[in-house]
Amino acid sequence: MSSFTVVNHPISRIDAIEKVTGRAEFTDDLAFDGMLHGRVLRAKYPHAKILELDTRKAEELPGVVAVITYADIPGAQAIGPVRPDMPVFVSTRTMYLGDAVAMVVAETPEIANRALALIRVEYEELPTIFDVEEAVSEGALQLHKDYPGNIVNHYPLRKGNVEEGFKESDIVLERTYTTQLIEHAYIEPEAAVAVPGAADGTVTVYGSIQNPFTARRHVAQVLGVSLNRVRIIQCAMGGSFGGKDDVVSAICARAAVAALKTGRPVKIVNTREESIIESYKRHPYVMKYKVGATRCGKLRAMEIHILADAGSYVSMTPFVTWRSVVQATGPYEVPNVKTDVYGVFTNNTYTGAMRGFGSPQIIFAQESLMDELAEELGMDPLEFRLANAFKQGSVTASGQILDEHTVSLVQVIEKATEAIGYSEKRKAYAENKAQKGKVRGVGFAASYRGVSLGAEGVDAAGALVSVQPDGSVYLHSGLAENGQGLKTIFSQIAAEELGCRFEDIVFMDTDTSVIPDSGATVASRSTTMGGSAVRDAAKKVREVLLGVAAELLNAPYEEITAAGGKMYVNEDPARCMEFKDVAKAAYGKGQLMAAIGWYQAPRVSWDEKTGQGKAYFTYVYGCQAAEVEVDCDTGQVKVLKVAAAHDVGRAINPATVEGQIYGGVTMGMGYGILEEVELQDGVTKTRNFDEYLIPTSMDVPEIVPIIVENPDSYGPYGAKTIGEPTCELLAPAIANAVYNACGKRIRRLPLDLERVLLGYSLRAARGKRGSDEA
Amino acid sequence: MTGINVAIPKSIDETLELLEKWGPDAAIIAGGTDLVVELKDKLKSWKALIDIGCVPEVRGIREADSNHVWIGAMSTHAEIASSTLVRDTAPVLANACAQVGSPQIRNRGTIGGNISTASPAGDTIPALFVLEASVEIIGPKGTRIVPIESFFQGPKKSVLAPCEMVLGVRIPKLDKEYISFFRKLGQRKSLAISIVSVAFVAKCQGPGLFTDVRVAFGAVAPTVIRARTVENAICGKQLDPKTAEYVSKLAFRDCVPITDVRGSKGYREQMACNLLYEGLLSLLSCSEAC
Ligand SMILES: Cc1cc2nc3c(=O)[nH]c(=O)nc-3n(C[C@H](O)[C@H](O)[C@H](O)COP(=O)(O)OP(=O)(O)OC[C@H]3O[C@@H](n4cnc5c(N)ncnc54)[C@H](O)[C@@H]3O)c2cc1C
Repeated sequence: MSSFTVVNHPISRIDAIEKVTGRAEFTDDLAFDGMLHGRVLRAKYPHAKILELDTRKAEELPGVVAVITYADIPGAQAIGPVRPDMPVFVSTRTMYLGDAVAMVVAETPEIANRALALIRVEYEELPTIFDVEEAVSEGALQLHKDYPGNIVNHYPLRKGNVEEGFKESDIVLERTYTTQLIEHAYIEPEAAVAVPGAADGTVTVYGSIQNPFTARRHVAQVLGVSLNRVRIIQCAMGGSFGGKDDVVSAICARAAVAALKTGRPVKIVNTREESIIESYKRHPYVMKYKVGATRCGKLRAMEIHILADAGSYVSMTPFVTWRSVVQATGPYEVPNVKTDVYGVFTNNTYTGAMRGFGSPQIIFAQESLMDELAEELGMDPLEFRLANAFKQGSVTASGQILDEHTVSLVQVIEKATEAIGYSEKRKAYAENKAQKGKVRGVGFAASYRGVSLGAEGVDAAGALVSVQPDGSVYLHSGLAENGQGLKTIFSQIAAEELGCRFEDIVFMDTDTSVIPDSGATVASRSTTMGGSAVRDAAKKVREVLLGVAAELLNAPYEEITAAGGKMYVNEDPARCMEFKDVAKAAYGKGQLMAAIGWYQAPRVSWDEKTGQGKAYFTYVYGCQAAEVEVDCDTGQVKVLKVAAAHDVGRAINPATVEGQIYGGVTMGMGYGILEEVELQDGVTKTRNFDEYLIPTSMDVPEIVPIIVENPDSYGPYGAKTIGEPTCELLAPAIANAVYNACGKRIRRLPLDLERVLLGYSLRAARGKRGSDEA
Repeated sequence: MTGINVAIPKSIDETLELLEKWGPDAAIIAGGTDLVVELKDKLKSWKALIDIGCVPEVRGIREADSNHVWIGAMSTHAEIASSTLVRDTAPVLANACAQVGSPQIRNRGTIGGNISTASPAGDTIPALFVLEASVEIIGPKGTRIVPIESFFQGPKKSVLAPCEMVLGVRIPKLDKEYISFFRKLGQRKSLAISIVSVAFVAKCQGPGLFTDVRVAFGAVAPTVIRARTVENAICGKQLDPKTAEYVSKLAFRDCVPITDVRGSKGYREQMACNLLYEGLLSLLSCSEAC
């Protein structure tokens, strides 16, 4: 039995009923008096000069109120989470197909659509680059003048001496792995409504916004106003997965510019096609790994060279690729490491944050490589990994000693592989000789993952708990619900800490005018960071209430417990008061029953030149094992069963942890066998879900979630993280299982029909990036 | 999309009048699962839609006579897949309908719509080919009956004239000696347009021995096709797994696929052969019984 009252229990999500009954309000459900509709004209070519932009005809169409272009922007022309390089509207040059050229604002979306066709743009096409290797080759066209060699960023990491390490190795393998461009595929396309405020130059923006504070900063910059003139209110989110950050900031900014120009509310809702064309994606990586090991199976050296396709703008590339450089060797002790990760500009759709954030790519490479190396060594992949796995006190590639938390890698690997029957099945299936019909295989992959932002940036978050005179509670948080269950988790933490009932808490949607800037809801940091802030706030208020209860119950403060809606004397629980009566009394005594909680992450460090340092303050460990069936006649891979073991520190809500596992495994499966945004010379070909295929409920295999709890010293009640680790492991587990089933090693994602059957894809409708190197 | 007229006729005569009145400016809407996509993508623009959901003459699944089953154009995939009559006398069609899209699509999409769309990847069509069904067409000049194989002229092209519509399909019943299968290959388990599909019907003369062999492929040519080379090779020959593999390989002679986003030409050719082979193998293991 859990020693907690609310935390660590599988409580139903507080937003479940409103979501399944369709009552939840999404951005497109909002309507305001006099509201106008904005429709965006996008680039015709991925890279072109704009010679002339004539909007007069469109402006004359009855029902059109304004046509907005770069010339209407009062403040910053461009935005970006790291560098402000993405224009809200392009002025002279398009860099990718999703660029906005102009926006019609009209009485109805239909009129706006018709007006789009009346805008005349004259382009001069410019030379293009779609391939990262071409972009970094000598003499390549320079896409951005401040970035020589088209390099967005370069992260080196040096540990030991790889030359020596390879000399000491008996076996050295070199392999190249590549991953594809991936769409977040949230069910709700991007949307925002900007409403001009009563006071001059103020604006409120409602939207499907992952990070209200980022959106506020961008909107304020574009309007050229101070932060307090912009209020952002987050609506119910129809998914985000990292995807509704800078792209939505740009949409909010367009709506805000139009709202202030017309003096009326302006709504923008992307169609699915626009969403897929405009929104940033997960980076495709080209990863060259060289690895050396001794005959008895000890890793000696790894040399890693990675090119990440950033597409047209910087976006989150420096942060995404930073996680890659930290974790590129995987959760293994490697004494000598040389890693170089580059973000590279092209004219492809730009890439940014997506669930996993630079880890799914490298884990596909490194976990495929571990199996390949084990095979070369004649070792069982499980034994080989266990021999090299991080253990308590191991040293990472960046020189960090893992001694401040429980290093549970071996535990999760053993649990996941046992649940799938890995060892026995692998041996049995390795005998498969069939080149026809259906064969089975098993495989697994393991990872370690730094929690929260790490040395990436400022890491702090706030929450506000306010108890009302009747004992009910408002809870505000600076980190936002993205559909992951944050409202429920935070309410549980607040209830546990206050000692009130879970039902007494009302979680308020995130509003930037109420709560301090807490950074972004990213990097699986909400529970650890925001949860700690909630706990801090609740604790402050509890102390006030305990003081009042102590007085009324006539017992020392320290001897009173607050739990489950009651406050009682430990020795004599019959001496007790209802939480609500304590609140009423405290109010009557004029006590402050509200508090802001704040949590700042422990210190971390990073040396940019050597890639050494304490990258993250704590880590989580995960392992997913899969059993698959491969049809040798068609190349079809069916995932039959997945076991997913994740150390979450402490499961604040085991049901939502399992929910994250089911969702993450499903997304990981899409990454592994189905999904790929196809670009042909920078032009998006897969524009809707009839061509961009994600798993349906029929494809989801049996999933066995295994929650491992080793409480952490930092997170609330020992909680760490679960959101992203669930989505980074299945693709390599499937690739390893396919090898076990039919002896085919596939080093490029996804493992779709043609690639599994033939080893490469024949489909012609692809850009250079899609061409397989056999 | 402002101002599109929707008419809901109550009889076939009324429908024909509307078709004549509007001509090519009107489209029939049955389940709408193809048409609404076209409307949204603005592939076509119509002034009027004629909803045939309330026309009794295009509804129902029944015995036309002792040798034929009649399926009204407005019958949904779900209705056909669960009809005992179809399952008993034309199981290959029930099987194909059961593999269309998803439950939602099967509940709305109709056989008339599937035929009229004339996609080479339409899943009911290979089944109708091997059943040697005929399409009943009604127009201003009355009814005409067109063998299913003559109905299609190319991708999205058929012999239907603007003022005509499909009334239903007539299917010769298969007796108990016939054996059949329908297989489709898609990238995932549901909501997947066929990369290749194959339908097979034959009279089972004993284990591995078939006559009156009919094989049709979808998505490997501008229209669904009958694979006569394969049919001739299977007919009357004693099949075992080895010969099954050999005859299946002949399929590529009948197929002229293209490369598109779902699959390449080369892959499709191989898959036509392999899908047929997998189907034949499964027949060999169960035809021992007949
Ligand atoms: C998500 C999705 C998945 C799908 N999956 C599949 C699949 O797996 N396999 C497959 O084969 N198809 C699939 N389809 C396509 C479609 O569902 C089928 O072709 C369906 O049978 C069309 O029938 P309908 O009644 O909806 O046609 P509608 O959309 O109503 O009509 C289609 C066309 O036929 C014409 N038409 C309809 N009825 C008649 C008639 N009686 N006489 C003359 N013309 C007529 C219409 O004018 C229109 O041009 C899918 C579609 C969607 C949207």
